[in-house]
Amino acid sequence: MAENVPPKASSETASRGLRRMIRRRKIADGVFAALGIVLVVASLSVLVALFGRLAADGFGRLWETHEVRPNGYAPARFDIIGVLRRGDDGTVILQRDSLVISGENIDAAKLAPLEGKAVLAEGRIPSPGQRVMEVEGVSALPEGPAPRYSRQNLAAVLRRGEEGWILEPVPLRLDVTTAEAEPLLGRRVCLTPARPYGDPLRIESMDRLVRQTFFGAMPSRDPARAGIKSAIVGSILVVGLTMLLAVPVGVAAGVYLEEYARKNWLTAAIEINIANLAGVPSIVWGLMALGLLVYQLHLGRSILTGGITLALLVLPMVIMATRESVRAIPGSIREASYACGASRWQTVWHHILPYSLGGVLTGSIISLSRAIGETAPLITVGALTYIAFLPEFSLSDPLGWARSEFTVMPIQMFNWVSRPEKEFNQNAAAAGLVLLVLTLSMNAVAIVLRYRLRRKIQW
Amino acid sequence: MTTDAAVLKSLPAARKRRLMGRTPLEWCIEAALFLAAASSVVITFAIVGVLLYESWEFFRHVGLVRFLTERQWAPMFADPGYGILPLVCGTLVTTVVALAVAIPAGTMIAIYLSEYAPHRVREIVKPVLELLSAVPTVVYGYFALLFVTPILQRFVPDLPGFNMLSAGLVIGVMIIPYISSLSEDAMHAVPMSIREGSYAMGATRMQTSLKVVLPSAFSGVTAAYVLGIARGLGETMVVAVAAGQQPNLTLDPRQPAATITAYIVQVSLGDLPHGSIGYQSIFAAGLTLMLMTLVFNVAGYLLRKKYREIY
Repeated sequence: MAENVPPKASSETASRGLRRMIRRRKIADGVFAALGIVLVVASLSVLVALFGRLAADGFGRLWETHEVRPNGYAPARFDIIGVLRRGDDGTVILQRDSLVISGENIDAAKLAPLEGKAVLAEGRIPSPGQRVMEVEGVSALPEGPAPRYSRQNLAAVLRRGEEGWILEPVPLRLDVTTAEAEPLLGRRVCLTPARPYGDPLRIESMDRLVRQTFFGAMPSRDPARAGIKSAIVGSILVVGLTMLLAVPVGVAAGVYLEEYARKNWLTAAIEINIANLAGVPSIVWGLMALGLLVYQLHLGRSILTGGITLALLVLPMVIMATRESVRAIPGSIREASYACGASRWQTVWHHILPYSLGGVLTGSIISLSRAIGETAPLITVGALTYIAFLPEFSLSDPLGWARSEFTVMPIQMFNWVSRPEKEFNQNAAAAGLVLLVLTLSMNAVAIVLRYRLRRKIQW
Repeated sequence: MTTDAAVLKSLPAARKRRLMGRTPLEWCIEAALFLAAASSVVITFAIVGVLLYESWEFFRHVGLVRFLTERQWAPMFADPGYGILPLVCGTLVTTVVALAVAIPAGTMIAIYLSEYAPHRVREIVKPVLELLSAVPTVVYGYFALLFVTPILQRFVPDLPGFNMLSAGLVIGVMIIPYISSLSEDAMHAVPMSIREGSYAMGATRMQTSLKVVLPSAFSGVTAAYVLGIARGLGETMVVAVAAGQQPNLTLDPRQPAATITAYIVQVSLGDLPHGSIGYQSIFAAGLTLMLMTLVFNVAGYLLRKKYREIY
C-alpha cells in the first residue's frame, strides 16, 4: 500500500512547479496586456506630440500682425515708412521710423561712446513695418555728404531707449514739391520709390493703419508678411465644389446599389470596382485628372479641375457611407411603405433618404475633412504655390471664378515646409495648425454624430 | 369574382404602368441613379486609360527592358537614365519601415482592444485612434522633417536631414489605425464559442488571442495589412517632404531617396510641357505604382481566399 501514497516531498515539488508555471503564465499575460496599453498610449501621444510641436512652432505666428498700405497690400520691400515733415530749408523730409538694434556682435562697450552721435549702422535693413534691425557693425558716420539710402547701411543717430539701443535714421530729403506733399505733412506715410532706392513715385498716408494677420495676408517672399488668405479662399472654393459634386452623385450611387440594383454580374462588377477605387493611391487620381481634365478636356489648372479631382477621389467614400447607413434601415420600413401603395422612388425619397441622413452626413463630413487635407493630387493637377490674388467674382460671369488658378492650404504649407529658412517653417507650422484643428474637429463632430445616432435609433 | 390580374388587364396601359410603379418619372429616376453608380466604372476606365495612353509614348521611346533593368532614374538629364529601380527601391524601403512599425503595433492594439479592453475603453479608443489617419499627410511631413529627424539624429550617427527612416516611421504611425481598426473588427467577429473552447482547455487570454483568435480572424487581418501596404506605397507628402528628392538605389533606410510618389510631385511642381519625356515619365511611374498596389492586393486576395474561415 505504500506505493499508493505518493511521497510528500515530491508532491510539494510538483505543486510548487505548477504554481510557478501558473504564475509565469499570469505574468506573461499581464505583460502582454500592458504592452497593448503602452502601444495605445504611445500612438495617442504621437497625436499629442504632433499637436504640441505645431502649436509651439506656429501658434504665435497666427496672431502676429503687420501694417499694410491703405490699399490693403503689404508695403513692398523698398517702401519706406515714416513721418513727413518740412525741413529747415523748406524742402520736404521723411523721418523714418526708428529701429531697435539686435545682433550677435553688438558690444555695449563699443556702442556707449557713440551714444547721441551720428553713426553708420551696417546690416540688412528690415522690411518696412518691422522694428528690429540685425546689425553687423556700428561706426561713427564719416565726414561729408550722408550716404544714399540703401539696403546695406543706414545713417542714423544712436540713442539708448527702453528697448535697448535705438537707431534714429537720418531724415531723407525728398525731391518732391511742397504742394504735392502739403496735405500729407506731419502724417505717417508710406513712400514707394519709382525704382529701388530712387526718387519717390507715390506717397500714401498711413494714418489709417491697417493691421493684417496671418489669415488676412497673401503669400509673400517675406516670411513675416506671408499669410494664407488666398489658400483659405482656394480651399473653401475647391472643397465646396468637391462636396457639391461628390455628395449628390455618391448618395445616388449608394441608393441605387442598395435599393434598386438587381443581383447580377453588372452590380457585382460595380461593387468590386468601388471597393478597389477606394484603394487607389491619391496621387494616381491627380495623374488621371492631369491627363484627362487638364489636357483632354482643356479645363486648365483651375478650381474646377481641382474640385472635380477631389470629388472623384472622395466619391467611393461617400458611396460606401451611404450604402452602410441605407443597409441599416430594416426591411419592414420599406414593406410598410410599399404596403401603403408608395412607389419605389416615393419610398426612397420619403423614408430611406431621411432615415439614412445621419449616416450620410457623417460620411460626408469625413470625406470633407479628407478633401481639405489632400495635397498630392492637386499638386499633380498643377495648383500653384504662389497665388497672390483671389478669384474674381462678377455678376456678368457668375461661374468665372471656377476657371481661376488657385492654391489650397496644404499646398501652401508644403511650399513653406520645403524652404530652408526657419521663418518659413514657422509659417508652415501655423498653416499646419489651422489644418490640423480643422480636420480633427470635423472628425470629432463625425464621431459624436455617429455615436449619438447609434444610441438614438433603435429599430 | 375578378382576380387582381384580371382587374389589371382591364385597365388602360398608362394606369397599369402607374399602379406597378413604372411611370416614366420613376424610370428616369432609376436610370439617373444607375448612371451615378456606373460612373465609378467609367472612372476606373479613365484612370487605367490615361495611365496607359500617356505612358505608351514613354515606353515606345525607352523600351520596357531599359525601364526595368537600368539602374539610373534621370529622365530629364542630358545623359538620361530610365531605370525605375531606384524609385521602386525607395518606395519599398519606406513602406517596409512603415510596416515594421504599423503591423506589430496595429495588431497588438487590435488584440488589446478586442480581447482585453473593457467595452467603454474600446468605444472611446477606437475612434480617437482613427484620428491619427485623419491628420493631413503634409502635416505628418512637417512632423517627420522637423521633429522625428532631429530626435533620430541623436541616436543614429551621421543621419542626413532627409532620410527614409523618419519618413517611414511617421507613415507607420499614420497607418496604425487602418490596421488596428480593421483587424479589431475581424477579431471581434470571431464567435465567442471558439474563445470559450480555448479557455476551457486552460489557455490564458494571451494564448487564446495569439493562437486561436488571431488565426481565426486571419482573413480580415490580412485585408487590413493589405490596406496598410497600399497606403504605405501610395503615401506622397510625407516622403516628398522628409525623404529627399534624389533617386537613390539603396536598401539603407538611413539614406535619402525619392519614391515614385515623391518623383511625381517633384516633376509636377515644375512646369513641364505636355508631351515631353518628363511629362510622360510621371505617368509611367504612376502606372508602376498602380501595378505594385495591384500585386499586393491580388496577393492579399489569394491569401484570404486560401485561409478564409466561415462561421
